[in-house]
Amino acid sequence: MNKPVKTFTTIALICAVTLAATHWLTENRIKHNRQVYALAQLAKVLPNVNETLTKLPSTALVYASHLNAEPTGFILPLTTTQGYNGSILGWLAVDLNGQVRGIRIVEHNETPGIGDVIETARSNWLNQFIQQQHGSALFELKRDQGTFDHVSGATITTRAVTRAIGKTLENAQPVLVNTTATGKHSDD
Amino acid sequence: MISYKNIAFDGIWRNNPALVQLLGLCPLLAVSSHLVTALGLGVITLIVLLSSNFLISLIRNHLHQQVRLPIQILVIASSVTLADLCLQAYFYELHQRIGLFVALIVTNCAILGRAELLASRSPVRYAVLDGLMMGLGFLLVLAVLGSLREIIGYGTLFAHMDIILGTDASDLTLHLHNFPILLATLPPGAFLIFGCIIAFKNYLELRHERRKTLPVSQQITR
Repeated sequence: MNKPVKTFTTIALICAVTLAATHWLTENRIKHNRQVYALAQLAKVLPNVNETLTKLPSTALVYASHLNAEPTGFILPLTTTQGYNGSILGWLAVDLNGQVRGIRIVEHNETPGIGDVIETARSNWLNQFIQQQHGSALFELKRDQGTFDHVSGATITTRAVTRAIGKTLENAQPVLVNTTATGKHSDD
Repeated sequence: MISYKNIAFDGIWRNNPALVQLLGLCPLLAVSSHLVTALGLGVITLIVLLSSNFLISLIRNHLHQQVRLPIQILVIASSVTLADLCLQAYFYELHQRIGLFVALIVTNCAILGRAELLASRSPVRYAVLDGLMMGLGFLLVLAVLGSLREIIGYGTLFAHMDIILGTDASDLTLHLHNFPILLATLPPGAFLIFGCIIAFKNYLELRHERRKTLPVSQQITR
């Protein structure tokens, strides 16, 4: 083997070993951080900070929330691709009857300063959905003969989120009735 | 001539990687909407530049013409990956905000440029000082741009500092005014403010030049 190739191989080996060692050392910590971060984002949707979350096997009801071992409700995934730019992802907390307790949008690419009214940190627009449930309102904007206010300049964004909330609640309704019913059954 | 003073002056002012060489602008403009993210990326770039300059200068006698560039890229990419892993392990929330741009540091020409131009042909002490000064120059520009954009665009300063300083720093936020100008938080605003900073630097240098060349009598009357 000539000298340049030997040098290159040696340095590549040293780099590979260092990287592998660091990866091995930090792997668990990174995995742990990822879980903590995801749960912290999720817990923000709950009105009570002391509530705990347990993962459910269902795809419609992703987490069950408990306060002092008493079930308080469920967390539903909120997704839509009808926004202004890319998909919008969030979480919806409902109580055992399907009434909305809290909403958070955790990922979106809407226009900063215009479409980001769907972020709780920037606007209380999402609050109008609190305590609504499937059938309690028409999940459309007022300008589409629905129940909810839109935000000027962000009609597409707010329309997408409003419809997504309605759709999520509607889809979860049968599962919710089922789960609550079987839950009661097992209590008897 | 290589001298400590020249290297320091080059890195921070005369040959500043961001203001004069205009290198690494993509991450520079993308993360500078808040001071905290700007500082985060600035410090990581500084660390990577420092370590890559050090390592490349250390092995400079083994860098054959044919494999010089691949080895430099290898060392830089490894340093960036190491920094990225540590960031994920110890500052996960910061990583959530600037992670994409940390990986892009590999492509920051300022780093390969320093490795190629200086580190691969100078003693370790010069290479380390150069890495430190170039990194500081980059960090300073990021900090100034980040502060300006946060003050103009959000009306705050030091917001979200807790993600690098720990939870004790969560109330460091200064609310300066209630008239945020949206433009400053968007990419065009970043370009405008960055342009103003370059213009201001050129103005300072020009004024300095003029003062030096003017006759003494005129200097007094000005």
